[in-house]
Amino acid sequence: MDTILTGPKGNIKMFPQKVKLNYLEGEPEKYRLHWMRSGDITDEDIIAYAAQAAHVPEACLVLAQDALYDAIDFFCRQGHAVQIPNLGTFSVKLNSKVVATPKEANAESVTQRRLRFYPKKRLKAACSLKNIRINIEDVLGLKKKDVSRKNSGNEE
Amino acid sequence: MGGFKYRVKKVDIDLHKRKVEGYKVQLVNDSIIAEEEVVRYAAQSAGIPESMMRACTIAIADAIRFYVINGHKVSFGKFGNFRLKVENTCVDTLEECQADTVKRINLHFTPSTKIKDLLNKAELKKWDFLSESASSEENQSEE
Repeated sequence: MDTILTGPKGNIKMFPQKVKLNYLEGEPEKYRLHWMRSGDITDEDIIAYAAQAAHVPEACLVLAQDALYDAIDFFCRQGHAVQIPNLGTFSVKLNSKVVATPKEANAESVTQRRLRFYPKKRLKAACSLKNIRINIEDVLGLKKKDVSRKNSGNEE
Repeated sequence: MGGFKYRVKKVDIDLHKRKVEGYKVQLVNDSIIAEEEVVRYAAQSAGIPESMMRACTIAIADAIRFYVINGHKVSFGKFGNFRLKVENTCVDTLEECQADTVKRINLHFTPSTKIKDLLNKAELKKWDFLSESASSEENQSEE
């Protein structure tokens, strides 16, 4: 199997959370890790990072970003799947009811229209468990630990 | 402008352990627009050279990747958000709650309500293969 170069590894924070399993008999209380969002990133942050990393003028990136959105919008609204370099493919999917006769299968039987995203192999690999380090944060009185799948349980 | 084309597909469904024939609507994807074509279209509309457009697109994609793998929720213009989705198992005690319980991490894309509205407003037409092939033949003969 080919090794996919993913670049620097990612880092996410998680914290233990108490959950009540209502669907089980006796409603037992259990624990599980919950993802802690580091923050919300807007278009401006993306532009600033890309300008610094690629040494491209910000004005040019803003133009490019708008044009990219227009291109995806234009092609997707015609039912095409659109490939974006280093990111993935956007495509439209239809969900419909199953009906008894071909005549009944028309626009009215469509229940949902969805925009799907299929990431590129490299991006998918970068987001996988192998390439992301999980930091468990102290939220419920648990000592702060820096663990990954390989060295789980080793306190700092 | 635009619109989706659909065709009717025959499907078999299990109804109380009995196979029943049914029909459903399936989208006809005209084609996959390749990276080069998307970059060319975007470069023309932005009025910048294709090579610059490609460099900008790659830089934007790398920026999205950087923020997503570091646990941020990234907004992708009017289209929606990218974020990581973590699948894990529940355990009985707090001490067992370690990184081992994480089964999978995936990249998740959530379309925005604006793009959902645009998709819902787009026209849905039945794909008529025969008339389309006839019209393309006519065009060829005219040429």
